[in-house]
Amino acid sequence: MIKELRDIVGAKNVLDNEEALALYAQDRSLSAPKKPFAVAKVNSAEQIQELIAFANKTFTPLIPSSSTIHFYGATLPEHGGVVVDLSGMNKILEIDPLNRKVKIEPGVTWHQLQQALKEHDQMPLNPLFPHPGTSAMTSSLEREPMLIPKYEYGDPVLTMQVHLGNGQLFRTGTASDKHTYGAYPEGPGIDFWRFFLGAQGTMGIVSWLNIKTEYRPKYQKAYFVACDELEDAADPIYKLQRRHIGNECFVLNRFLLAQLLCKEYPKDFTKLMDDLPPYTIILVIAGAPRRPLERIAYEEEALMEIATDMKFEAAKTVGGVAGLGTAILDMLHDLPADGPYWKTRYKNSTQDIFFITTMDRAQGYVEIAQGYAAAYGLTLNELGVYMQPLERGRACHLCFSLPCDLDSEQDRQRIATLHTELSQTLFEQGAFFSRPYGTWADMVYRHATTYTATLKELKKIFDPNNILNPGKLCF
Amino acid sequence: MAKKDIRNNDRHQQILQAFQAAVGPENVKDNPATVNAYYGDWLPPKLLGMSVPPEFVVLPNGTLETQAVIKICNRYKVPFIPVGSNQWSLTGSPNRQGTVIIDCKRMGKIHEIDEKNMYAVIEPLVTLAQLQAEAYKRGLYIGSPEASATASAIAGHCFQGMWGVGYRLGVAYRNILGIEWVLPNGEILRTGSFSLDAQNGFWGEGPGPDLRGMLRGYAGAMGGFGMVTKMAVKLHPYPGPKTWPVRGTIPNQISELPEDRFKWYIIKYDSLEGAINFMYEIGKAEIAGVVQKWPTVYYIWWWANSNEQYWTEWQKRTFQDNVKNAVGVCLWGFTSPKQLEYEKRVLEDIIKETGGKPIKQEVFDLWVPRTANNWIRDTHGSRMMRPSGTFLALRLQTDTLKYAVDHVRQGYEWVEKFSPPILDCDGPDWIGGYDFGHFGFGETDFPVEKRAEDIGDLMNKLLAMTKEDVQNGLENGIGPFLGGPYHQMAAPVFNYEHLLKGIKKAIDPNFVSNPPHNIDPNA
Repeated sequence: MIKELRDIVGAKNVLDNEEALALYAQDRSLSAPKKPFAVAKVNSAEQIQELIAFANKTFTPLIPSSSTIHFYGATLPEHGGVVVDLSGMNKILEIDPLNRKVKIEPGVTWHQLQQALKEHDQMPLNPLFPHPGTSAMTSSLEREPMLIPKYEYGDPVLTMQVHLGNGQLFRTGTASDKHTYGAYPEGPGIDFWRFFLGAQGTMGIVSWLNIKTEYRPKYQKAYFVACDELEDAADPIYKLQRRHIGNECFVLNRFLLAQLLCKEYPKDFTKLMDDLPPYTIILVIAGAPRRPLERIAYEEEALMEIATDMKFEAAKTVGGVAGLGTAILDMLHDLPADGPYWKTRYKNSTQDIFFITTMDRAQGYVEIAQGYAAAYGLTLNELGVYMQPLERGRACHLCFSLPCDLDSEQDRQRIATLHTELSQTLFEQGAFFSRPYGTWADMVYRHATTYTATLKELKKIFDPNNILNPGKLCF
Repeated sequence: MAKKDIRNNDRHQQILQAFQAAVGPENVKDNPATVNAYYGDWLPPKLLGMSVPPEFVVLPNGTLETQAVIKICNRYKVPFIPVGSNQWSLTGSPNRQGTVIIDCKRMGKIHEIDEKNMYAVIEPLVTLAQLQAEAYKRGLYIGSPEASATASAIAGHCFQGMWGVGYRLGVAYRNILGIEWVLPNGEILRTGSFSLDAQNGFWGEGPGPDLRGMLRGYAGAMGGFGMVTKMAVKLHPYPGPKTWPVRGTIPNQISELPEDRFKWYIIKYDSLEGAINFMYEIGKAEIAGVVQKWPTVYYIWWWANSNEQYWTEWQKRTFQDNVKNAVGVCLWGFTSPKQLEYEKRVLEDIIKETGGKPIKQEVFDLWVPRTANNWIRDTHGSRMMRPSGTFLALRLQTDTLKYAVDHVRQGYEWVEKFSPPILDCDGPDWIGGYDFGHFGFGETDFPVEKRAEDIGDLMNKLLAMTKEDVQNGLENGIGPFLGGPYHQMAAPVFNYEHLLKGIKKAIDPNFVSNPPHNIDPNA
């Protein structure tokens, strides 16, 4: 088998030594390590096609992996097999400023994409300050929420080239027609592109993706609203989003904001934890390409009017933190290329629980999470809370971050149990786990019976031998 | 010899009894007067003798009754066609004997409007106009296609959904949230958040891979994938009044939205390229609620109160001489009146830079009050029939705005080539920008003589053109609107034959859901 893999991707691109395999056997989640048989580093669509042919012949699982960092166990080989490392395919194939889109390969990181788009006065629609190694393509395909909820039309995915488990090379949307610009997601026939979103690589391996870009504002102002409870943040955001105010808009609790802002741990962190309010709404008002300051002015005026009506203060900082606005804007402008991940300053990992809900229900979930956290020895100051309004505040992504020391078996066990129990309770209380990673899959699919049965029917068509990332989702 | 009445047939009686048991005897129709009303309208299939009356019309109430009806169809292997408002018979009229029409007339409830979280849960008979009216009361909004707001909102979301406000809100597929859906095999599929909580449809995706992908495509599944019985749809912030403002009486009603929140412009250019450049700049500037480059024929279609008025005005050349290569823009002050003032300044900058000129004031005054707001709430869709009682379209293409230009240009050539029976229409190029100009849509719509022989001949020529496009690897023309026959032809070329046939076979094993749509798995 190794020989065949070498024939496909070249000898130097096949890893089968214990040390290398151990690296791919685990990620930053609490999932048990699962060693692959080998790793194949690919650098072309043709090699992916050949690997799929090989896998179908030998019934070998292929586990696609686009980056060097993973948090949810999605790239761990449940049934052994070969990890298809796509991180070397990291070219930005085309920037199309006129139609505001970009064509990227799997290994392109958010930092790389942001920098390349800068030259064209464009920006990507990135999630909350992603890890430097995160693949922009995987983020987009896995529906990670964007920081900017103002685009009514929602997700940024346009078209893609995907290698199906059945050996078919397929292009979605108008990319199926070689005469087009590949800008429209629907078709050919039906909306196939949707089957590859949130699929954790089980329906196909995507070798390039067209996503939307937006104008990169030259002028921005950051405003902050201090809140005692998450529910205090919901009503202002409902109002602000309804009135079309701001670009980036999200809420972090003290624990997460302190980690984000601290430069020197633990000194800065401790001070920030003392100074910051329990929750902070972060709202960035941005100028458009034309008359940018005039747009900022009318949005600011409306913000202040709402603040007065609703009796909250929209300020340039919270907790007396000096230079807060500049710090946030700088981070937005320059996503990190390397260095430690901000979410792991307190402990060396974060075990996140995230789901979709509505903002008016978020407080209830926070109270559940706080209760469980306390029962497992986490103080209120050790539970991260991030609320991301979606689609003009119509819904929200709610994320609880549980810090965990991966080097401590005791901490791993404690947080793993907390993670499982809290997830289960949140699920029972109506939290919608739209991206069911790891153990969430069983929790979710057991209840979505016809959905699960239909997905399985689709899987048989797209990947009849179940070679693509078997053991994930309901497959 | 007198034609045998199928109703005396044992099999007919057996199926009738089964339907009656499922939905109540009063909700199953097989009398000629009723079934004959269900097989055609202004579109070509009936005119060309391609349609036949259905054998039954069944009116279930709710998901469970619909499921029972579809299960009966599977048991007896009889084809069924789900219909919404039934304004569109191209794929909704039976093309084979023994067909069952599943009419949603007993499913007209708005289950819920969640004002705070901006969505509504509706049944199939609820029209876009009805939903819009409810949304306005709550400061919310939903788009409508130019085919008319009187269409079923669910069917409108499943079908094309190129809303007048799609520039801002996207195409209707982006608006679909949770779905309750009876598959062709009779299973009830709930998607998005409905999949885990049948009472809560606020979210559309997942869990995991998104099965909403089966529902649509460029022109819907044409009833080939079962029947949606409940859908949650997004509503959007709206700065307009709580009721739609009209004054006067039909057909001379006019509609004016508050001047501090809405402002229409119609700006013309020397060339189509100039108009498209203007549209790109508007999208880049992130302003406006509606941006449409209408063809001349649209101005008069939507405006004329009668066939006589249409042709009188056409001969005067009021529109041909004034709105060629013009773009309609409606600015919306979502945030405040100051947003509107800001957007006016930005738009005026763009007009100046791009060399645009407002159309003559008298033409603007003639057209805008009576007609322009139809792109926000369409009530004049049926006026497309004014010139001849029908219309046809070719070259419907969505990709970028730039791509749309090339394709409507090719459309002109075909229109000229086949005129008559295509009637005078002055280069019928409709181009819309969507998702703030991220992509564009081009369509060539034209009036045509409504004579069977002319339409038949023209249809054949247009189909030949579609075949030629497909052979050249172009997914283009009117093809997607033909559903099954088109997919049969295009699927091998665009590499989705195996996938689509596989899905059809998996969820419609008896091939009963509006065959041959979405594709015939055995062909």
